[in-house]
Amino acid sequence: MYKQYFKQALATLKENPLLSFISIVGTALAIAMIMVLVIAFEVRTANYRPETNRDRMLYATKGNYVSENNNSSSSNSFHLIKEVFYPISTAEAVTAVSLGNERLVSISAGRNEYKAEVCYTDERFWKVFDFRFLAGKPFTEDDVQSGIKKAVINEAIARGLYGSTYVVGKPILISYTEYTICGVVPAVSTLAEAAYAEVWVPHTTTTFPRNHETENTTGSFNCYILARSPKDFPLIREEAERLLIQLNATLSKGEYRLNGQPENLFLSMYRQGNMQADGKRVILRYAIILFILLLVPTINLSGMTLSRMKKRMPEIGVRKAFGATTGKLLWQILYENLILTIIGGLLGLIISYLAVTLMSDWLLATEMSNFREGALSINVEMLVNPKVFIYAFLFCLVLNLLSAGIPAWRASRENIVYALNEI
Amino acid sequence: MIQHVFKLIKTQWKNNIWIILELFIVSALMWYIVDYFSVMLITSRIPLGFEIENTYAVKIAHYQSDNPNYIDYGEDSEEPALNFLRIVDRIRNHSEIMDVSIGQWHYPYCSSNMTAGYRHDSLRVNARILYVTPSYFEMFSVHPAAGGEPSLLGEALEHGVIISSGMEEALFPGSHAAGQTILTNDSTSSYRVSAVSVPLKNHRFSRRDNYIYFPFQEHTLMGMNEENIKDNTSITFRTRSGMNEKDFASSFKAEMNTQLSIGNFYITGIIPISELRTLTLKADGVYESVQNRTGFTVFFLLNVFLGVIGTFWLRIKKRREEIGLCIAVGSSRHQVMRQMMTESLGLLLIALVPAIIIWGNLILVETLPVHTLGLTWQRFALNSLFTILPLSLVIILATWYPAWRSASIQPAEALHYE
Repeated sequence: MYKQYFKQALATLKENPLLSFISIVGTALAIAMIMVLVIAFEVRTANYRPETNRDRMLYATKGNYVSENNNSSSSNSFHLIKEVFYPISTAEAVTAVSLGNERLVSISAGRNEYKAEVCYTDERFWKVFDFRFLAGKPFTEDDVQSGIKKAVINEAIARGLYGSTYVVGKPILISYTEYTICGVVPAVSTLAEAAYAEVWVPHTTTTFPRNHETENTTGSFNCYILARSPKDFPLIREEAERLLIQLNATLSKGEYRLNGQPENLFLSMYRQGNMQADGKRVILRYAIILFILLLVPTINLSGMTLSRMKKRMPEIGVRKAFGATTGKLLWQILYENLILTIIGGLLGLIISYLAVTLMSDWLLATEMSNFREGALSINVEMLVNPKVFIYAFLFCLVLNLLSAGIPAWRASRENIVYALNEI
Repeated sequence: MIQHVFKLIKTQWKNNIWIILELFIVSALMWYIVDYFSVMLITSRIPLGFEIENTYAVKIAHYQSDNPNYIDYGEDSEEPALNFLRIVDRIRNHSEIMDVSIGQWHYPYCSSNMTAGYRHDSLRVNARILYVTPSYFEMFSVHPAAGGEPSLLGEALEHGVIISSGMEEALFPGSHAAGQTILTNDSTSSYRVSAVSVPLKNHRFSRRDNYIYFPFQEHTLMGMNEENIKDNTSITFRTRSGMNEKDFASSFKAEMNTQLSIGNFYITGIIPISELRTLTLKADGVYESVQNRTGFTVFFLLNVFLGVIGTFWLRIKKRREEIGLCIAVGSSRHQVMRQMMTESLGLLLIALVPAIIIWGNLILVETLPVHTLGLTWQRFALNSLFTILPLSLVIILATWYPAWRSASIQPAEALHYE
């Protein structure tokens, strides 16, 4: 029977090419717009290398020191992370990362210099994030403890400096200070905001200024916590709160506030300074945009489906006269229409992938990626995600129900006499 | 003719309701979306107050104490400050360079800034603080509010602080600030205003901001270490005109790299200020907003196009006979096409009636952001223009093909069906 419906749908399609074309293009446009939004959201939240564990990570990136005459908001100091986050026992790994350090890298001073973003971090960084090493290996706990000048660099820098990736053991000057290259990793897309850098070195190889005004609580470090499972999030948060109370007891003038942190990626993405994002509000905003994106094409498609149904009224009348129930007819019309919608949906998905690939700087840019030297690269692992296909199909179903619902309902309830009259 | 068209629309009400509904929703939404463009257009016409042609910012860094090249001058040494000033001198002596200015977060499109509150009598205002040297005004072409050359402001800086004319209006409404005294909000310091500059904005699409200029004193650097000097000062310079900014920046850096490495300082980059402008606009969300809103506008217009073309396509199929008759009794093809076009624009006109009510409500419930621009009549006029004009164009374009097809109906053939 479904085969029959399918054939019928194709026949209707051919009968009026212009209208079918308009329906399909209209559907494709709506699905393309929605899928661009979905993909843009997915590349920021889905798991892919090196941020393979985004769903079980917690973020603490903005700190807030408050005393009688000082209210400073900034990232955390290493000291704070060491006291408040490192000891969390429920977590699988906790890492401290100092970002936004642009440095000159070269082999010898004055020649062939590159500006590179250097990340100062600890050995646990390599546990929280999942890097594939092209050569060598990460620096170790001992290296960090003793401030050994070792560096992991990305492929592009390795090729730029030495012309190859066989550079382990060779020297590199970072701000004219000599380091030894211990590992090479593929370049990280700026979309992996937490793991992104071009060069990674132990944080103990440089000195970070202490901020005396905030009693050494604020600084330039972000903290990323890897939980064993998202179920542990509340426990980790509780532990962090407890440790924070201990730390605050040691402060003489003010107190440090986490303002809801550590929080999951979604809340961290929409955080505004000291204010935790209102997750419900963000979702509501997305829902309104999606609703509008579905509503406008729906009106278009409804009008066209309705006129198509009108033409087929005699056919429907005959089917009814021979005993087809309202429910059966309703189902048939929705099914036939779904075929149209899915053709449009597939086309839309292809358009959205093309758009995202060709205009990635345009469509996927984030607040952070604008300021980074590296490329906003995208790869198959990021884009081809089962979730994306499921979403695309779901939105097709919704669009179909919205655009064919009213016409189908009206057509299937039409009085049989009137319907037959039109023959 | 118009009456006739509305009669036609009325008799086909059932077929028209969908397209009218769509036009209504789209025009209501578009009016809100294009508001951002109207605000951009209006604000961009207000002068910036400064110019950045041929100007560059110098990025400096310094060796850490563990670097073999590091020279330990000891605490409170004046040597780091003197080295810094030597760098400034060497830049100034370069043949292509017209003037050099040092200051604290002072140049246009700088990513950091300081603000503080100032008052005069009971009037209070927040202003952006810039520490500058006299050459600043010539370098960025900041003119006095009363007219005259930028150098006048440079001279005035030696006798007090300079405020922007927006700040003058806020603190001294209806009178002049020059020669008067202003206080910090907590009344701990007072400053004599020596001159007033033209109104200034942070970037092209922002509102006018309040600026206060303090003289930058080189002796304050003495005794600071490299870290503090780097964090608290910036160097900018201007070259002769007619140079490609990107090329000059890289060739200057290559040429001067060794000469500008003095003591523990070295240069990491020369950045044309026009590049910083792009970053500022990005950070302010201008790029993102323009992209998103353009995307939505195009999406809506495409939908309207498809909707209108579909509706009228169905219509000419139905009205074949009627059109054939019109042509048979002497309507020119041109007239038939014009009638169809008027009909489609008539639909937009009907849809605009409820849409205007929505626009009014958007204003009444204060949905439009007023941070950069108040609710002026120009803004409403532009919003309406930016909504109605593209919609009308798209509708005409979409009706054209079905109308052309209907006008080329052979009367004999059409009447044949009758």
